[in-house]
Amino acid sequence: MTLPQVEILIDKEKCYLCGSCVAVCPKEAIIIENDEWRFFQEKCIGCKFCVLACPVGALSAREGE
Amino acid sequence: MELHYDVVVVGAGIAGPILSRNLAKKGYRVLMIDKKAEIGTPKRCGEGLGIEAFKKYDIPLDKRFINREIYGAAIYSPSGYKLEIRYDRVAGVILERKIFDKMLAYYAAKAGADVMAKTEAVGLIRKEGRIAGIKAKHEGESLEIYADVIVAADGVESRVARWAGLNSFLPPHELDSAYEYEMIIENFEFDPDLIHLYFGNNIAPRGYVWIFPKDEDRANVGIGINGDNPKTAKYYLEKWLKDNNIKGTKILEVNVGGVPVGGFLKELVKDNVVVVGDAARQVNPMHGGGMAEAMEAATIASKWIDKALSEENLELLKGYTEEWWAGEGQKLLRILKVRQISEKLSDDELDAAVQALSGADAEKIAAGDYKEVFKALIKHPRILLKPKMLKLLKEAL
Repeated sequence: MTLPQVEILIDKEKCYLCGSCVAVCPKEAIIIENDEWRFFQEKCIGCKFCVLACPVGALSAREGE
Repeated sequence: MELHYDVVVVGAGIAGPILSRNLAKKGYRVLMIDKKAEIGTPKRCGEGLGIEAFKKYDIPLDKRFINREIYGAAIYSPSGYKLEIRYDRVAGVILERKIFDKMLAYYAAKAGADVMAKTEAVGLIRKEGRIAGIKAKHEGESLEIYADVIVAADGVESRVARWAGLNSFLPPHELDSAYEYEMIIENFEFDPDLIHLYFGNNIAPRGYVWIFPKDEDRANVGIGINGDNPKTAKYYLEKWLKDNNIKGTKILEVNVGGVPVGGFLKELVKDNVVVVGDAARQVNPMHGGGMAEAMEAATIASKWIDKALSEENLELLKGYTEEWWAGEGQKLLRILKVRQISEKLSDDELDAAVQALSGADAEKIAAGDYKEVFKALIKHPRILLKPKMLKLLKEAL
């Protein structure tokens, strides 16, 4: 089964860099390095676990075509 | 720059410094790195620690990191029934993690370990098919840290374990999403000598709201909820404050984090990489505390690293996995099963549970004697455990 492709967007002003999204990502599509949140589209499988896990709602998923 | 050590430890939270201290004391060359510019900051923690941890893990009771001594706990059900457990002696303390973590790193350094803040691991060094160390960065400068043993103490967002090939992915159901204010509490009664825990499916799904007093009027007020909840932890905390008419106008700190509550790492060692603490998901899945658990894991891990290095046989590192799983792991699994029962209780059942437990042996409950808990629960007429829950219960006890 393949999930629809999504792009994970971040609201940097809300993010605390707590790493919850990194922990729940099955594919290491999100990393935090050098105090910066980074998303790798090519690794994302569209599960949106990161969106759910964020304690402050800083992440959202934009549906791809 | 190239560096050489016996052990490199990634992360200076709780497990990292305890492990580094223990091994430095044994005479090993240890380097502990942390990505934060200031060890201990920011923290993601309610800061409550049981008093027994200090003696057990040889940590001085230093006034500089103790905000307040705590004598017990009060647990509140959705309708406001209260279960109070109060001792005539200090049961725990509310720490100042910013100072505590830094002091733990100081103890490690004093024991002989090297410590480098603002130094982030960015990858593994692989030589001739084996892991030879850690690549790190400090203010843009690349470091190659060669070591016989690499310790992943890099927290919930651990990358080191995954680089080594361990699957430390944590499904959102096994994460608690947490949000906390350190604030002055006005217009709300709470006994500052106790910690206060508020349960309810509409208050904190799967988790609870906590008040951990740092002063008579100042406390960590936080919440943990299931990580797969469509609403945020912040939403539920704000709602609870509003429902209780607590003004949030004197907020001194905001803390945000994910807490592993299940999904304990099966393999704690891969080749010469050893995983401890939140990175290994070694957290009590009932209350979400992980400090004592990290200290325990660090203690066991340091013992086996010592054995492996002194006998020049890295295979011995696996002794850590075996020993942790035989004792601490089994204990946490049992607690997880109890949690899986308690998370299914309705608000009505939670009310009945708290009422029932008021008549049980509070000391035993506080000590984690869940048999006593369930003895009290089963006797209560309003608690009708479903067959599935009874089965889980039987497995847990």
